[in-house]
Amino acid sequence: MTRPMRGIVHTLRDLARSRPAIRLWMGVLALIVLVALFGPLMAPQDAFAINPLAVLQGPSAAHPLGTDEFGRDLLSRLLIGIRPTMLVALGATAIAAAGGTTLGIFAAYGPNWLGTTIMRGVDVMLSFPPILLALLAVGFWKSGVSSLIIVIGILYIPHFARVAQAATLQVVRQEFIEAEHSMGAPYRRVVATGILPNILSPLVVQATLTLAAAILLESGLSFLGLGIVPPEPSWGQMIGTARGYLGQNPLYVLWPSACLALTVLAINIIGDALRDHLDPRLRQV
Amino acid sequence: MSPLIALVPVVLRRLGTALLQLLAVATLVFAMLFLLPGDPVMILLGQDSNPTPEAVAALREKLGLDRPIAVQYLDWLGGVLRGDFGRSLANDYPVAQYIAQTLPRTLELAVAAILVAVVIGLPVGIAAALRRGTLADSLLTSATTLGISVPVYILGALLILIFAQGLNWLPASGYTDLSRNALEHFRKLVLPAVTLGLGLAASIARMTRASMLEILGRDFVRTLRAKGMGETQIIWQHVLRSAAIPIVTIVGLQLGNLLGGTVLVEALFNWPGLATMLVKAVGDRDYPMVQGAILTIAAAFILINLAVELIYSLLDPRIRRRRQ
Repeated sequence: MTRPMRGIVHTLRDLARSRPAIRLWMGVLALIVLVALFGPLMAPQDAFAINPLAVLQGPSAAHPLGTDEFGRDLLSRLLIGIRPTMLVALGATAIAAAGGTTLGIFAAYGPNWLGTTIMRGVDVMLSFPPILLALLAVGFWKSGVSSLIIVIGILYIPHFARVAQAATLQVVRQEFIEAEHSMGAPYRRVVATGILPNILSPLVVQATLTLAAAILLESGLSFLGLGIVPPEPSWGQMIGTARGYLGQNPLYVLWPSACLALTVLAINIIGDALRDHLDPRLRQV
Repeated sequence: MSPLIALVPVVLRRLGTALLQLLAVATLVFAMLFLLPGDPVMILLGQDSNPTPEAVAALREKLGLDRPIAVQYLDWLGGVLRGDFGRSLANDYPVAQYIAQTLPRTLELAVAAILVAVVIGLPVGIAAALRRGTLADSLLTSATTLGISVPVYILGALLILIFAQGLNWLPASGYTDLSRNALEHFRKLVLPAVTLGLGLAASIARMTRASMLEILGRDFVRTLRAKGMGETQIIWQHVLRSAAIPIVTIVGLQLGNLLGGTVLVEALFNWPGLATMLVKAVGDRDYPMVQGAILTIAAAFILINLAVELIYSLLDPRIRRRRQ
């Protein structure tokens, strides 16, 4: 493990020790990650098996959470429905982090004109609701996990760029960077050993925010019927379909809603706590 | 100089920026089709479809894609300036008329949502700040975390289940024209507006609480108390006034999210607004309709931001002076 990575693990451990309530939410998140990894193995039934005789049923012994409009087992669909969402969220966050951090460091550490150009572009992109741009790209290009990863990833590059730029500007002014320069360190080395490790905490916080935002965006698009392609389920898409059957099976909409809300809540709460913990000014209060 | 006259140069400069932003968006909306990988006509006809060469040529001509790009661009900008966004590919109906029909419905929903947000968010934030550290404060603060995290369509579905299906107080979805039945019109507005407004209410409550707490700790508040001014007067006349700027800021910043949220809320409640038109047009690959809808939403967004900045300058003399 590299040094900064170990730092993050330590931080999480500190956090869990100092705030017991956070431990609960970390547990929730761990459970969700487990389901994302092993959900298809846990599913009690075939999530794609259609049964016209058991349509929109409430909970029963055969179907603990009931069935959907095709008589498919809701528990099984719920268990496999998190995986595409998680894939999209993780992939998109990785793209946004890599692209945005690179741009942000260039903007703060590179020549002035480059910085101005990058940050103006960032401002323009940030001033538009991401769901509209995503809607266009997905609608006219193609749906599915891989294109959602690329589209959502690109949409969140500006957020990372802004955070990375602000953090880099602070680090660059410090004396040890000047010292590295005067000792003749190449720019590449200064970025890798001087800047990057020192701007990591705000980036980690931004990553949690982006994860939650990407989950919401994917779910929103799938809710509109423009995200994950059926019959493969995702929680957002299940909610979108279930809204047509609120009268027949109210529980149908509640299960995926509860799962999705809990996931986003867990990520947001841990992210908030992480931000408070990493910001020394807030820690003293 | 009267404060309003001092604002004139600020307003003019901001108007200039807004016009540039509009031009940028119009250009982007034009270029969108060419930025996506692949032949634009094939994108519109669908990736997997197998159209005849005649159909391809017909659509190319209908969209004017057979002309040089510069001509297409100037034509598009000229049309936009005259309020002509072309015609729908689906039924040849002018896009501008669709927009004229749907935009007021979306604006009504958004304005109602902002009202809901302010009416709920401000008192909650003030109450939490005044009872800092009590059980009521932590309950209210947790509720705001929930309000920020829960997606609008989940909130909306819950509200439908409770108030439409459970209690049968309000209609679950749909739209009735104001001229046909005013009461029904507003009954159908309540649930979507509350759904859309609650998230913003949570943001406003959080910001109000934080901002009030900060101002309450300032020296001038201590001085006012020492002078013997009543607590009510201090809160309403002095603290809230100083706390207003960050609150207006958060409302301004969240308006983009609100516009994004209308897409989902309109879909959930079958509200036939601009966002519904956009989603349908994207599904139908009706490109002129998509362009018109996006441009209108972007223009609304830019104008709202303009308004928010002007309100700041009215609220905060310091911002006004810095600009001059």
